[in-house]
Amino acid sequence: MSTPRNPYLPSSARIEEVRVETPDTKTFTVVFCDDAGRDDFAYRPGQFAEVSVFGVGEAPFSITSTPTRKGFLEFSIKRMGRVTSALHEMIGGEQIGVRGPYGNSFPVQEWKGRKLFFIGGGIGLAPLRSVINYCLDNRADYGDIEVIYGARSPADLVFKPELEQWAQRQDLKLHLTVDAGNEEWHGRVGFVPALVTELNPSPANVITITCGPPIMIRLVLQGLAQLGFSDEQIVTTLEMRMKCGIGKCGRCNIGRSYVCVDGPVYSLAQIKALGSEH
Amino acid sequence: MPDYVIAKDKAAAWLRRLGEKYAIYAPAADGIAFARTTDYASALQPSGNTRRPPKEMFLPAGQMMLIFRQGEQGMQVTEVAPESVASGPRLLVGVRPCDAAALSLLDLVFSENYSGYEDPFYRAARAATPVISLLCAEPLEGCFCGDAPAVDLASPAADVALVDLGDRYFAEARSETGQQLIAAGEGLFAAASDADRKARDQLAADLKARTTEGLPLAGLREKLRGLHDSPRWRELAQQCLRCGVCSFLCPTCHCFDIQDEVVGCAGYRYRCWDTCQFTDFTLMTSGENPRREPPERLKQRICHKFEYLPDRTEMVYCVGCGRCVRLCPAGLDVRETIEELSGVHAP
Repeated sequence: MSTPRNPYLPSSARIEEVRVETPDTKTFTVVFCDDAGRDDFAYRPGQFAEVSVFGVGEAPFSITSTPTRKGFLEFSIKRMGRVTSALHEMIGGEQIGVRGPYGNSFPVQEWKGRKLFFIGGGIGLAPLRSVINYCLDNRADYGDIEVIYGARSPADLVFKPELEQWAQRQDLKLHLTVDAGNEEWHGRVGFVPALVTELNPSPANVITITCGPPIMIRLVLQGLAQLGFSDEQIVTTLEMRMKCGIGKCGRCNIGRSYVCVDGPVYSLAQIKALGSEH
Repeated sequence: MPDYVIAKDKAAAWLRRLGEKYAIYAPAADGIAFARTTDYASALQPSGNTRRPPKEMFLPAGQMMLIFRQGEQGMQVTEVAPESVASGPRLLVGVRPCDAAALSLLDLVFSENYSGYEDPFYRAARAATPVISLLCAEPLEGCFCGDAPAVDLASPAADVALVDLGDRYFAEARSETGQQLIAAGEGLFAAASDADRKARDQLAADLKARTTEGLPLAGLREKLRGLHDSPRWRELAQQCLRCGVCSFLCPTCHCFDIQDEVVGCAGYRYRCWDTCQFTDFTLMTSGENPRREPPERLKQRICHKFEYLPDRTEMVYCVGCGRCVRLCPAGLDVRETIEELSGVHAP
C-alpha cells in the first residue's frame, strides 16, 4: 500500500497573470509547476483551495474559474490581511503554493432541468462565477439563468469584461446594480435585495444561489422567503476562519458541521438545521 | 489475548529490555509531563497524574510541517517527512486510563474516516509510540473518569494495560504490538490466574466507584441542542479569564493553528496548539467574528466536547481526567457546568 500524499504539502504553482478588478481586488491566473500538481487537482465549482505565500502564510480562497475550462486556476482576491496583501504585491511569474481542492461543491447535478437565479454582491461573485460559467458550459442541462450582481460603486464591480460578455448572451439575463452611481454609470442604482424583490421571480422550479456580504445575504434571504422560496431552494456559501482545510484544526465548525469539509455550500434548510450560530 | 502477571522486582528488567529498542518516556518525578527516562525501577508509579497530558507526544505544542528556501530555481519546498517527526521508536509507560482513552479519541479525529483526510504527522507519531497504561492507585481531586463513557478502567485503550496488584503487575496485551512488548519480557512474565483477573477487576471497580459522580456526560448531547440560545452561557462565562489552560491541558483538545516563520531567505511552516477560548480563534480578516464574546466561546468548548464531536463520532470528548478542574485559575469546574446544563431546560 502506498502512503497517501501529505495533505498539508502544497504544490508549487506559478502566477501567470494578474488582472486588476477593482481598487482592492485582483484576479490571479495560476498554473501548477508540474504535472503531478495539476493531475492531483480535480475540482468542482464551489470548492476552495489553500493558497500559500511562503514566509507569510496560507489562506483559503474560493476557486473562481470553472473546471470546464482546463489548464489553469483563477482566484479573485480582495486585499484584506497579511496573505492577501502579500499576494497583491506579487506579479506574473512569481511562485506560490496551492493545496486542495477542498470542501463540497454546488450540487450542479441536482440542478439539472431547473431555472437558476444567481444573486451576488461584491467579491461574492467570485465563487458564483465558477458555477455560472460551469452552467453556461453545460447550458443545455439547465433552464433559464438569471444573474443579479451588485457592488458598492461602478468601480467595485468585479469581472467587468466578463459581465459585458454575459450581457450580450441570449441565454443569460444579467441585472447589474450599484449602491451609489456616478456620472458615467447609466445603469441601475440601488441595493441587491431591493432588486431581487423588484424582479419578483416566481419560485416554481427555481434554485437561487446567493453569495455576498453578510448583510446582503440576510436581506436577500428575507426577500426570497417573502417571495415564497422554500429553504431547500435557497443555496449559499458560509465563511469561517480556516487553517487546515481538511477538518482537523477544529476552528471552522458551525455546530457539528466543519465548513472546510462539509461546506462551504449549504442550502438554507441545512443552515437552519445547524442551530443558532448563523 | 491472554493476560499475564509480572513480579514487581522483574518489571524494571522488562523495561530495561524494552529500552534497548525504545526511548522510554514516563511521568517525570516533578509530575509535570512525560519525560525520557532510563530509571526503569521508578518508571511505574501508580500515584497522581502528569499535569500535561501525553497528547504532546503525538500532537506537539509546536510542530514543523514543511521547510521552504528561496533558491535560484525559485522557492524550494521540502516536506518534513512525518516519519522523521518521531525521532525513532518511543514507548510511553505509565499512561493513565483516562489519557489512554483520550488518545483513542484523538485517533478518530486524525483518521481519514473522520473528515476524508488522515493526518500523517499524528499517524506517524502513533505508529512509532506504543503505550503501556497503569491503573491509578488513588483518584486525584477533581477526577471523574468513572463517568466518562470512553474510559475503561479495567482494560484501557493501551497496547499493554498494567494494574498494580501489590507484589506484581497484572498485564493485559490489548494489541499485537502489546503482545510483542510482553514477548520482549520472555521469562519474566507468568500467565495470569483467575484470582489475578479478579483482583484486577476489583481494583478497577473500586476506582470506578470512587470516580463516579453520576454526571450525565453522554446525555448532555441531547440537552445541549436545546440550549444554544440559553442565557446560562453568559452567566457561566462570567468567571472565565480566557487563559485557555482548560484546553491546552485537556487530553482530547486538539485544535491547532498553522503559521510561517522566516529565517533569512528560508523558513518553515509549523502548527501549534490553539484554543477556542481566544477571541482571534475565529476572527476573520473581514472583521467578522462568529464567536467574539466569552459566552459563545464557552459554548463552543462545551458543545464541541459534548455535542458536536459526539454527533460526528458517537464518542464524548471528555475523559474525566480533572485537569481543567484542578488547574483553572478562576476555579471554574466543568463538573458543575455539566450538572447545571443538564438540569437546565431550554428557555
